[in-house]
Order: sequence, then structure tokens, then C-alpha cells
Amino acid sequence: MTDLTLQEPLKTAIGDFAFKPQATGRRIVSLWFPYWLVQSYDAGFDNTRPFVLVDKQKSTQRVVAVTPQAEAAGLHTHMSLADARALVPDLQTAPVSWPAAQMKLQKTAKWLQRYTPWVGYDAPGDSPTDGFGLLLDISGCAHLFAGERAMLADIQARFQARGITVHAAVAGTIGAAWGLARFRRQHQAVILPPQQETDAMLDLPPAALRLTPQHLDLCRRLGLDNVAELAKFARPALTRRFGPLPVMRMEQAFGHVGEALSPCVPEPEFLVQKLLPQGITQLPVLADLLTPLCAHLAVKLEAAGQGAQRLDLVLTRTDNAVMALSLRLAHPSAAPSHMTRLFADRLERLHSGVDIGLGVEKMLLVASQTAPIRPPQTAMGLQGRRHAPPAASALAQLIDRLIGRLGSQRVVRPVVQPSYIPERAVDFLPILASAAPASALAFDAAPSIHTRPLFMLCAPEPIEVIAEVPEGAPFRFRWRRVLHEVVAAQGPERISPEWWQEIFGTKSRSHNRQTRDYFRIEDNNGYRFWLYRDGLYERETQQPKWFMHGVFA
Amino acid sequence: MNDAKKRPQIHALNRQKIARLRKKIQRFESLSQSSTHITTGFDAIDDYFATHVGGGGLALGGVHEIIAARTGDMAAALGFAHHLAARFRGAQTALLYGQTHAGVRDTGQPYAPALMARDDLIYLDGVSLPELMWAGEEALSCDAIGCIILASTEEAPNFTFSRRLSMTARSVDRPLIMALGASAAGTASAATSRWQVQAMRNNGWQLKLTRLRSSYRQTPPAQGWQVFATPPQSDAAHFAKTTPLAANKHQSAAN
Repeated sequence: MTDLTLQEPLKTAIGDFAFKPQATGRRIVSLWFPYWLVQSYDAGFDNTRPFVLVDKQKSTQRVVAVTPQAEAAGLHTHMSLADARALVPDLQTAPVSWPAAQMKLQKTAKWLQRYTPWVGYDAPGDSPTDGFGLLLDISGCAHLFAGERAMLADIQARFQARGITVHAAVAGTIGAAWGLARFRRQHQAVILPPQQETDAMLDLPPAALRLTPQHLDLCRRLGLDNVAELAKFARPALTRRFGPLPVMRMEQAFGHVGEALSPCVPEPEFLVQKLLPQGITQLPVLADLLTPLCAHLAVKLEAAGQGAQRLDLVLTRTDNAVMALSLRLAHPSAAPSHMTRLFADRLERLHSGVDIGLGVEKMLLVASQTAPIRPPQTAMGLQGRRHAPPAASALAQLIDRLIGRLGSQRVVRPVVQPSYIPERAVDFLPILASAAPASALAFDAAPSIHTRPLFMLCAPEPIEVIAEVPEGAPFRFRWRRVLHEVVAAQGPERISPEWWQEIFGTKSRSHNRQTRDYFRIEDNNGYRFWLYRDGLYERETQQPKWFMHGVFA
Repeated sequence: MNDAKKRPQIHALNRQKIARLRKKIQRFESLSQSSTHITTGFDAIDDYFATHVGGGGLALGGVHEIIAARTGDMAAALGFAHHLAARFRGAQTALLYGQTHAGVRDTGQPYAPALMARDDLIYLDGVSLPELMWAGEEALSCDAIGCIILASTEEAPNFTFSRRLSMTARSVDRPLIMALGASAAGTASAATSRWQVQAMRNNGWQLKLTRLRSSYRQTPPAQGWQVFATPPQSDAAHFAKTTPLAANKHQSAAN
């Protein structure tokens, strides 16, 4: 004990730059759920009476989680069930299920990804306190939720609505956020301004440093009540007496050394990689190397009965720059030839634009999204023969290739929409996004298909029209600088604006407020057009405009 | 023989070689003659095919070019293309329809309520001509595709492209229809058939068969055929089924 020499307060001792907090701009949220086990326990219990969860530890039933009421009655964790019953005779108990609680936490972590993609668990063994915790790296995310205060308030409100007690703190380091969430107990979330981790931590108890029970026991015996007292010691002395952990934890909490937060994204299951020690500088060679890589991935996928829906190819250059190509597949596939071909197409297209610098030294292929596929039934005795893929998957493979080269916005299918306005009646949707169209959609029978043009202009084009009577069919018109003499006309087909859209405000397009009178026109060359007059004369407008909308074959 | 006289420097041995190669090419080209022939659904044309053309119809496998007679006839050409596609396409197969940027600007996009093929349509919206050719070749080798229509208003594919598509189409016995603008009329191509379409008054088309790569006993009529009624399976049938257009009463006054 004598070798613990007291020193000046820590901050005056900081002379060297290594102690300067790194201005990383990182912001970490620590969430602490002190009653997680009981509050996530969903088998139900009487809320008005004390309730505890018990676990069998070393042949005794011990309390592992208590409700706030039970806590008020003097119960605490680690006490034996017999003692607890002595204190509260009508105690409700239930056996704890650790996996279920863990599963709930996992789900919650996933849900919290709505705030930031970077959500992690507290490292195991960190928690001498009760309850469970999660960490969120919200660097650069808070402004999306109107600032940190609003974001934390939102998080807390949502947990409260589900009856879960949560303490939250945000700070620049994991250690500080963790400690503040647990030991600066206040109703509102703790928001620590940047660079103030050291000050904020000094008056917290040593337990705020994520130490083991042995360390805390030692602190108690030495009479060290807060972090400041611990920080006063010279670090070599501290290390000698306590081991390296307290020094490391302090430096992490103060932001002197970095600490990684591992997000709880599941490890990709279907991942293959290839190291290329020489560095490949030729794209065609790279494309060739993809063949074995895809074959390897296909074996993995097939073994699991899965097909890839999304593939990511990550190329690492010798200068550590990373390039990623990702592909979406129309239909889950585990066919290596198909994957190779898609990537080869993509690489070929990149040929001019891609810069592989001094070479690619690592290729990594991940099937980041998969779906189960039924393995094709192979006929006995035909093992060696190549089978043509069934039509559905052949089509899917074609669509993949088209999308791979042309982009998903170019490969579309028409989807009939419930609308009477001609240009709204059909939408072109990317094939990947739109499910197979329902051909028996009742609505599409409404306007007879024989009265619609085969081609519809992308936008109605204004035309100059001469009509003898304002309500009548045109008599001569000029479209795209060509004069057309009308020989025959049929119409009008009156299409009124969809007033219900206006009322319910589902869609509002200003140009569609007026009634349209559509005419089918044949001119002296035999060209057939579909044009309309926008607005009823003298009722909706004085100067009706005419538009060309479609062309008949 | 004439060639040989003009260029006596060609050695007899080389001539033999050339003759041999020519024969070989001929063999390649005649190798995969389509066995399936499809009628057009227009009686006048089908009569001609039945009596004068080997196979009695349009060969299924091959490139069929449909050319607009005038600039404004592109829609009619495409209408005929969709009509043929409906004849060519079997059940349970999809139609791939690709259009270049200029085509989208010119005639607009296909309008689903007027399309018979709307449920099995894969539409490529505004791609460049080389991409269109590439997509056509990819689609030809796909068993789930029943017919392909590629539309390019402003430029026609060069002979190499055309030949390539033609060979593929014939080898897989699948039809590919190229709808081209009026400027394509004089271009060289390896197409199995080439049609010229002109819109006519009273919901009609004038169809001229300007080229046919089959054995025929009599050349197609130079003036073509005038067709008015279209069979019900056709995509373009919508105008034939409606009541005749009422003559515009102002017309007589104008003329």
C-alpha cells in the first residue's frame, strides 16, 4: 500500500501530447435498461406486487432480477430466494430465461438501427451493475432527429411507452457514456458536450469505469470513492496494484485512447475471398478470377439450400482503396455461371471508368441477401448432361443481365393503376420492384382497350388547333411543326378530373384540374392521333388549350 | 466468270479456294432454316405466302425488319411489329420490347391498356442502339422469351450487327423484329424479311414485302397489300374493332 504514491491531480500532470483528448467528433449513446430482465419478461405477472426472477446458482435459488416494487421492499439481486421470501412472504417468482432476454435485446438493437446503423452491445463482463445495455454510435446522425436532445427524448419516450425503464447518456467516448448512463442517475438523458469526458467522469464512483468486482472490492478497501481519487495515482503504481484494466478504462473513458464499437450486424454467412499477392492490374484477368470465386460461393449457398438475391463484390487495391460492386438478382440464384456472367458484364462496362491503380490485391464476394431455393431435381442417369434451366429462372437470369448492364430503371414492366386519367392509368415500374402483375385487375377493363392508342407520349404536347366550333373536333392542327388536315374524327370521350383525389389529397397535379375531351383523329395521310381539349369551353376556361397525347398504330 | 476475266491475276488455286469457302458459307447459312412458319393473319398476304413461298409463311427463326415508309409512319410500323409479335409469340413466353431514346421521344411509350402483351412485357425504356443490340442478342438465347421487338427510329444497325442477330435468331429459331425509321430503307441487312409499312386512310396499312430470304416462285407484288381488318389476337386490333370513324363534317367545306 505504501508504494501508491500520491501525485498532483491528473490534469496538471498531463504534459505530453499523448494525453491530449483526440477530437474525433464521435458521439456515443449508452442506453441502460436496469430492469431489462423483468420488464422484458412477457409471461405476465401481477404489477401491484413485488416480482423477482430467480436462477439456480451453485445449488441455491438466487434472485437475479427485481422489479422496482420489489426493490422498494428491500429486495436486491444476488440475494437467495429464501432470504427474499423472508422479507416479502407473498413474493411472485419465475425462473429466468437468459436466452429469451438476450433475444429481446437483439431485437431491440435491430430496432434501434432506425437511429443509426451502428448499434452494438455492451461488451460481456462489463457489467457489474444490473440490467442490460446497448451502445449507439450516433456520429453524424443526430441532426436527422433534430439534434441529440430530441433524439434521446424520442428514444426514451418510445421505451417508456413500452414500459421499459431506460437511462441514457451521450458522450464522446464509450466509457464516459456508459458511466454517465449508469451513475449520473437523473430522469432526463445526460448530454455531455464534447471534450468534457474527463471532468464529467472524475466525480463518478469507480464502478463507472467498467471494472471487475475484484477491482471494485479493492477500491472499496482502499477507500477510493470516485474516479478522481483513482486518477490521482501515478499510472505505473496503479498498474502494479490493480493490473492494466483501470488505467486502460480511464484512458478509454477520457478519450486518450480509442475504443472500437463493434456493431451487432450478423457476420455474413456466405462470404468468400481471394488474396492476390501480386496485385492484378488487368480487369479481364480479374473477371477470370471471379469464376472460381463464384463457384466457391455457389457451393456454400447450395450446401445451405440458399440462393443469392444480392451480391457484393469488394475489391481492395494495393493502396487500400476499396471498390464495391453490388448486384441485385431478380430471382434467388446459386448458379455460378450466372453470377460470373453478371459480374463480367459489370466489369466490362466499368472497363473505361474504373481505376484499379497499382492493382487489386484482395477480392471478397458476399451474398449479402439470400433466400431459400428449391434445388433442381436431377434426373438419374443424366448426371453429365447440362440441363436447360426452367423458363422462369431463365427469364430471371435474363432480367438480371439486362439490369446489370442497363440499370434497374431501364428494365421495366407496365403496371395498370386504378385511375381514369390516361397518363396515370399505367406506371412503368422496375421489374425488380414490381411483383408479377395481377392480370385480372378488375379496373383495367373499364376503358375499353380498343379505344386507347398503342403509344402514349411521355407528356402531352401542346398543339395549335383550328376548330370550327369551340366544342367541336379539330379541323386542322399543327403538331411538331407539321400541319395535319383532319379527315375523320371520333369523339369526344369526356374524362373528368378525379375529384376524389382532390378531396383526399392523395395526388395533386395542377394540370389535371380540368375536364378533358379526347378525340380520335385521322388525317389525310392516314395517321391516327389521340388528342384532347383541356377544359370545357365557357364553363372551365375561355381559351381551351389542345394537347396531343397519343398515337394510334 | 465475269469476275475472273476482269481480274486475271487471281490464281486458279485461289479461285478454287474461294469457291470452296463460298460453298462452306452457303452451307452454314442454310443449315438452320427454321422449320416453323407463321402466317400473318391478313388473308391477302397469307394467300401469297401459301401459293408462292416455300414453307407457306414467315420463318419463325430470323430477323424481320419493319420499316416506316415515311417519317410519320413509325407508329404504324410499330403497330405491325406488335401484330406480328402476337402471331409469333407462343403461350407462356414473354415479349421483350426495347426502344431507343429517340423512339421514346418520337412515338412515346407503349400504352398498356392497348397492349395485348401487357402482362408478359419486358420494356427497355430508352437505351442506346448498341445496348439495344446487345439486349436483343441476350434475349434471343433465353428460352422464356417468345419474341423480341427492337425499335430504333433514327439509325439502323450496321450490317455486322444485323448479320450477328440474324445468325443467332436462326440458330435458336426465335423471332426478332426490328422496327426502323424511314431512313433505314436503303441499308444493307441480313434480315429474313423486310417490310415497309405506310399508314392509310380508314384505319388501314399498306404493307410491302421488299425483301424475303426464302425460296419463292413469284416476287411479292411491288405495290404491296392494303390491309384494313386485323385479327382479334393482334395488339393493333383496337382500331379495327371500333365503329368506323364518322367523317368529319367540316372536311367537305375545307376541301
